[in-house]
Amino acid sequence: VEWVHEEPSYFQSSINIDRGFCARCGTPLTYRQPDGLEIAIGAFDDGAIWSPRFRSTISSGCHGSTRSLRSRLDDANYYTRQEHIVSFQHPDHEVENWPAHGLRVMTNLRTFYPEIEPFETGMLDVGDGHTIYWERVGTKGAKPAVFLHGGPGGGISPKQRRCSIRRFTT
Amino acid sequence: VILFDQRGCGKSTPYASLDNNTTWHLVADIERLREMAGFDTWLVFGGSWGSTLALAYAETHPERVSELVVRGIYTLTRAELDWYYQFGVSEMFPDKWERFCAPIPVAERGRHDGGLPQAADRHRQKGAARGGKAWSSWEGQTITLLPEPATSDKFGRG
Repeated sequence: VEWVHEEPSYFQSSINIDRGFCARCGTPLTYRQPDGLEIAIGAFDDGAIWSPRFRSTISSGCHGSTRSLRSRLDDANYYTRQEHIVSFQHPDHEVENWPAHGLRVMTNLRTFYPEIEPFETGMLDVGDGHTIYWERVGTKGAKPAVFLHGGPGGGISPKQRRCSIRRFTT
Repeated sequence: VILFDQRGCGKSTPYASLDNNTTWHLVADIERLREMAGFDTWLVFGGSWGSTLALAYAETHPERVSELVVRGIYTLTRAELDWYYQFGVSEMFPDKWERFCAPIPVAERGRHDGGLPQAADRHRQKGAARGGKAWSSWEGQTITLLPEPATSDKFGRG
């Protein structure tokens, strides 16, 4: 995504979601979730070029095609994951510290996120006769990050793709 | 996230090669990957040996690191090496320590003369199987406080 005028400001509303908005006028612009970036039709110069393809909320999904609904029903872990969401939104009563980014008390050991396949892999010739295998997981266009495995000598494993940082990273 | 097998590891080739394979070669590789992906800066995450590498990278290229996340921090100082391979953890897991030392002749165990390199060589010289397995099992069985066969079994394998 390329912002032609000015990139939005973001509010991280939960561990999985950030919401983009115009810091000048407050207009909501984006909703970034683990599967990708959603952009408000109003963010485009000509919103009329887009037309709805599917509806994504369960309550309104009784008729019409609801790709999202179906994928949720097929996903046994969907509700477990929902329960793990930590919200950073205002709790609707006065609290001393808000927003309190990063000030979470860990009550349960967090588990790994669901299995994920790389969206790109390759071999990079680094000279000296060495070629290294690399892979990229996460959301294209999101925050860049690199994972350094242990050992030395350990190599990477599919489990390491499932660290929480992948949600917002590319 | 970009994940990669460091030189000689995993699917990288040539497998297990230690030629031209130092911390600083790996730091340079991280830069190559960053350039390949076209990122100006990025979050650097590393655990265990990866925490050492993350710190080495961040110290070498601070302007490229937007955030640094390290876990299971182990920086390979003499004190840390001695603690793990000479005296310290050995007192916490005496039975496992005994198995670790088994491939080394008693007279050559040399706890008090900075014996890690010798111990490492001794294990390597065993060539394959026994020494390497003992070395790897030691790490696998002491990485958790309570026994976790599902974790440690992976370390003892070929």
